[in-house]
Order: sequence, then C-alpha cells, then structure tokens
Amino acid sequence: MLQRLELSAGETGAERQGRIRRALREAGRSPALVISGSFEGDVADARAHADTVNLLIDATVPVVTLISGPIGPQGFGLMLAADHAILGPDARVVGNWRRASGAMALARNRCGPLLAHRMAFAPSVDPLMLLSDSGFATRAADPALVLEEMIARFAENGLGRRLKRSLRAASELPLKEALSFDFWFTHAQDDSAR
Amino acid sequence: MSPRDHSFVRTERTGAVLIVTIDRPEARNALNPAILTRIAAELEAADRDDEIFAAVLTGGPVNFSAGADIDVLSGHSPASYLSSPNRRAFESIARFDKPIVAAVAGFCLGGGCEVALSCDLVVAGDNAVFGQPEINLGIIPGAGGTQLWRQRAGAGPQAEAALLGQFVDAWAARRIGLVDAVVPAENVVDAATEKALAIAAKAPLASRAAKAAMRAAGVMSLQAALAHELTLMAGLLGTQDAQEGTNAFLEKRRPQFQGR
Repeated sequence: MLQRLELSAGETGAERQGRIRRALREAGRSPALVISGSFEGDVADARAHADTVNLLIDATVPVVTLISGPIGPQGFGLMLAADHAILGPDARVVGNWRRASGAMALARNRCGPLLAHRMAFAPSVDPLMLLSDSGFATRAADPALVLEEMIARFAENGLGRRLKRSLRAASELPLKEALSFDFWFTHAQDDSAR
Repeated sequence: MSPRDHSFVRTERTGAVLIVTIDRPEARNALNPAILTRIAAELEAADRDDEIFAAVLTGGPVNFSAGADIDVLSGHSPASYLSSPNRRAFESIARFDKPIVAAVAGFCLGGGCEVALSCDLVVAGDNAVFGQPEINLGIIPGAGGTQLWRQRAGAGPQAEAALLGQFVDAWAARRIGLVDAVVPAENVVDAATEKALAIAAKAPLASRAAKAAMRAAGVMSLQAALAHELTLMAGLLGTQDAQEGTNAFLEKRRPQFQGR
C-alpha cells in the first residue's frame, strides 16, 4: 500500500518533522512515500527544517512530492530533499526561495553544478522550470496520473528502493566503488535465478 | 559449509575461511560475556587450525552489535571490570593472528564497534551506523574505542566519537577511512567472505607475517617496526610457499600455497 503524507499549513517545523519521521517509519514495504499538501511558508525553525531535510535524504524509501499551488522557502527545501517532484499546473514558487536553508547544496546535488549556479545567479530564473529541465521535477497537467505510472514502476521488485540506494551510493562513493556497490544487486539476482 | 551452533554465536566454514556470526537479534546482538568469550574461543581455535587461513566476523545483514549489555556493565566495580572475562575476550579477539574481515550492518556501537575496528578490514552495509556512545553513560570506551578510530580515520573523527558520542553512517565512515568498502546491507556477509577468501588464497604464512608486521605500527618505533618487518620477510624466504610463489610467477601459472 502506498504511504502518503499531507502537509498542513498550520503545523510547526517540529510537528512537520515528527509527522515525516512517522510516515517514513510506517512506509514499511510501500514503494514510495508521497508528500502532498501545503508547501507554503518560510523556514521558521531552522533546526527542525535541517533535521527534516536530513530525514528525507537518509530515507531508504523513495520520496516523491506531489505539489500544487504556492511553494515557499520551507517547501522548496523539502521538495529538493525528496527524490522527485511532480508539479501540478498551478505549482509556483513564492517568496525568496534562494534563502531556503540548504537549497543551494541540495540544488547542486540534485541538478548538478551548472543548473545550481544558474539557479543561484541568473538574473531572472524560474527554478521550477530549471528543475523540470534537469529531470528532477515533472510538470504535469494530470499529476495523479504521472504519480500512478511512477509508482507502478517503483513497485516492480522493489525497483524504486534499489534505484534510490544505487543513486545514494553514486553520490557518496567514488565511481568504481559505486559500480561495485551496484554489481551486488545483480549478483543477488543471478543467485536467485539459479 | 558445516554450521556449528552455540548460544548466540554461530560458526561456519567456507573454504579456508571461518565465519563467526553473532546471533542475538532480539537484543540487536548486544555483547555479553558469554558471546565475547565464545567469539574469543572460536578465534583462538581458528588460530591453531592449519586449515583456516582467514576469518569473517559479522552480526548478519541487520545489526552487527548495539554494544555491550548495559546491565552487565553496570554490575561492575572498577576492580571487577579489570579482571572481567569481557575485557579478556576483547583482548583475545584483537590478538587473532590470522587476517580477519568484519562484515558490519546496522548498529555497530560501543563494544561492537571496538570489536569491528579491531579487525583488519571492515566491510560495511549501506545501513551501518558506527559510534561510541559510552560518553553519554558517564563512562568511556574500554576496549579500544578511544584508539582504534584514530588509526583508521584520524584524530578528528576519534575525538568526535569519543568526546561527543557522534554516530557516523556507512557513507561518512567510508569517506573518513573508517571502513574499507560499502555494499548493500543484504550482501555484507558475502562481500566480506569474498574478501576473506581472496586473502585466504594468498600464502597463509605471508598473510600472518604481513599482519604481524602491520601490528607493529604504534607499538614499536618506525625503526624497530622496519627491523621487525625485515626479520619477518627474511623468515618467509625459507618457506615452501615463497619457493612456490616465485616458481609460479616464472612459470606463468597460479601458485598453490600450502602454508609451509
């Protein structure tokens, strides 16, 4: 069963952190955690925000944000800490998203140095367009349909979780070691086929 | 493979490699005197066994060990701890003469971390977490936790671990050199066994000599360690394995080492 979490506009940073922690714990065998609801607002509690970002980065289950409406600095950071964003037609950034703590580090990690620099320094830029161009986000007329297709792919033999682990290894390890890491999954498949 | 079962510790053989598994999942493989003594006894026996060339120490793919049983620790007085079987067992695990690879997944904390770091190589699962939380209990590590991090990762990580009780995940552990490889957690025992088998395929006397030479670091001055290395090297020149190694190289074939 797919694990979902609806963010509420009125919750504090600590409450949000607690709810995300619980949702990740309860994700069990869910192919993904889907976070939707309110992405508005500034970062009021920097510590809770940083801890929440770390929670999402360390999550072993793929995290997808399903966003419609305004995205404030806090939501912008959470979106980048997830693995992929599906943006509805009315999703848009509001406020000074460049000030979202961790935004630049995450943008560079997610989209590479060139897009991150463009996001940081280009005079007029739509970050959601850049994120869509980079492949990190998908702008969709029917976000639910895109999510459904994505989850179906993730669910196949735990592929989503495996891909997430491989991507983590690729971002944390030198190339040869990341390849060795990935080869173990193939090893295991070969063994079970025998 | 011939599994032998004892309470909370299992052993099995794969080729010339002994695999010792801590098996107390309901307590996250917490170490008590019985477990430590059993591990020490298995390793001492393996040291004497001419058919074992290397070992793997693991807790399986979920947790290596969450540390020592707190109630065992709290029952000790200053005098009783110094003469405890715990302390003796930690010492004899660290004294194992043959190469040993730790296969670490999940929690690797306190005494568990000290046991893992006393191994020659550490293979970590991607879910591994290393730490010395003793400082949070008003004590300090007592089996190498204030020394072994420094050897592998340097003074900074050592201080973070011993003074702050800071935990380090598998990725950071690899980055700072605390572990030698990161693999998917479910494959950690296989990966460590593969490494141990590769070591076991080398000349066993040379492997033991290399380990003895490496151990001299920090115990002897550099000059003494180099002299020690030279003595060990000279001793190997008279072995059949050294003869076989050079002959095989010249004849362009794989050597067949016998440990003689």
